[in-house]
Amino acid sequence: MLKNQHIAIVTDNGVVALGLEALLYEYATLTGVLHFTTAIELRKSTQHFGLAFIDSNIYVASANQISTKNKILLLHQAPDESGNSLLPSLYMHCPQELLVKQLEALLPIFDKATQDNGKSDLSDREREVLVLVAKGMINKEIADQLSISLHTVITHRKNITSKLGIKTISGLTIYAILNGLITVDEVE
Amino acid sequence: MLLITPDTKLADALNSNYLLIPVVNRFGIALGFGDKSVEEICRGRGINVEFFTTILNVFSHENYFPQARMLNFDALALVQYLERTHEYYRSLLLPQLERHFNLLMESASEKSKEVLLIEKFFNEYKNELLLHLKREDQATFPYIKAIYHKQNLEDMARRYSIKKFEAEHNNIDEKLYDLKNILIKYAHNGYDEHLRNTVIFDLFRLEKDLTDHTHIENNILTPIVEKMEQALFGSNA
Ligand SMILES: [Fe+2]
Ligand SMILES: [Fe+2]
Repeated sequence: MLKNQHIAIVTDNGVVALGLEALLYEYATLTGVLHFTTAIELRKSTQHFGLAFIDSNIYVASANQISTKNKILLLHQAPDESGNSLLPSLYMHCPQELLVKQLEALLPIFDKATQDNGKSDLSDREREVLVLVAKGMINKEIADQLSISLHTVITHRKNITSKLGIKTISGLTIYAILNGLITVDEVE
Repeated sequence: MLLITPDTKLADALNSNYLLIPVVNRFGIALGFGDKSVEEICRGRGINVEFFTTILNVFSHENYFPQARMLNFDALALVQYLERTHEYYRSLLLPQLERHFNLLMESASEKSKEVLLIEKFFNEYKNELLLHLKREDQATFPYIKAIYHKQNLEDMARRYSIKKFEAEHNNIDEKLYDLKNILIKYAHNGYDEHLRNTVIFDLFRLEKDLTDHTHIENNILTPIVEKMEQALFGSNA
């Protein structure tokens, strides 16, 4: 979870910040946790954060300082102060095991979000494979042409399908033509 | 979504999932049945209540698939249900989709390469689906009905078997999935957006229905017929 990512904790409560950091290191493979006491400090930081834990009071008071690019998890004292219930929230005033349960439920959401962000576009290699598929080549021919293993071709094809949302060869051909990767005449 | 039991009011079931309405139609049930329960409606029409409720629940709940219980279903009732489903695709859902699709393509700002490619893709899919339905209607289902009634057994066994069906039966929803994504993600030739939505809704409905249909063919119909074959022809069938 949150592998190799930096995490920001924004709160003016030092005890909360330290406690949360300790918990996070237990449950995620992080690169580093950075502490801030105001939203402005967070904004000024040049670091990219996989996730920012922000005290709900700070968030309400200075939401306009916080970039919408951040993935935010609000820190609430208790469930009833639900001013920003649209954002995922961690309720801190509870026994440790409940805190852990909440984290376990919340962190995968962000993990998924980062994965999806990463897979927006085809890699150069995937584009090459796609072109050959659209031209009507079978996997073996593609492997020979690009001097890669059959297994690698299959992996590329899986990734292409999941990135584009297109499974069939004729569907991939349409995509390739519409995006100028091949011309109609190149399709057999 | 509501888990349907024999004493659920059918109207409540349809309110909880409106996509069940065409499924109910396939059993020859027209709407306008007031507050009658599932059981009352089935009894009046000679429909097996358990079969009916199970089919509705399988359709409504993704993880609901009581295979052991379904393996006791009557093969003939199952085939009749599947045939009616085909009829629904052929005479209602597909023509409706085609009508909307043609309107959508006509709404494009120009008859571009994109429009031509998507039209071709759609027609290929339509033909594939029709061929799939036809093959089952002309080979698979008649075979099952014949061995159910124990007619021309030897002749039938020579010509067809459920093994053959398993080998030739393909996933008919892949191109549909592609078409959906082409329309959602990639087509940008100035279409009428309302028509585009309408076509996408049609595609989602057809896909959902087909997935469910194929699931029943592969995991219920096939093992039931296998069992019938074993009883009739022995294990080397
Ligand atoms: Fe079928
Ligand atoms: Fe089928």
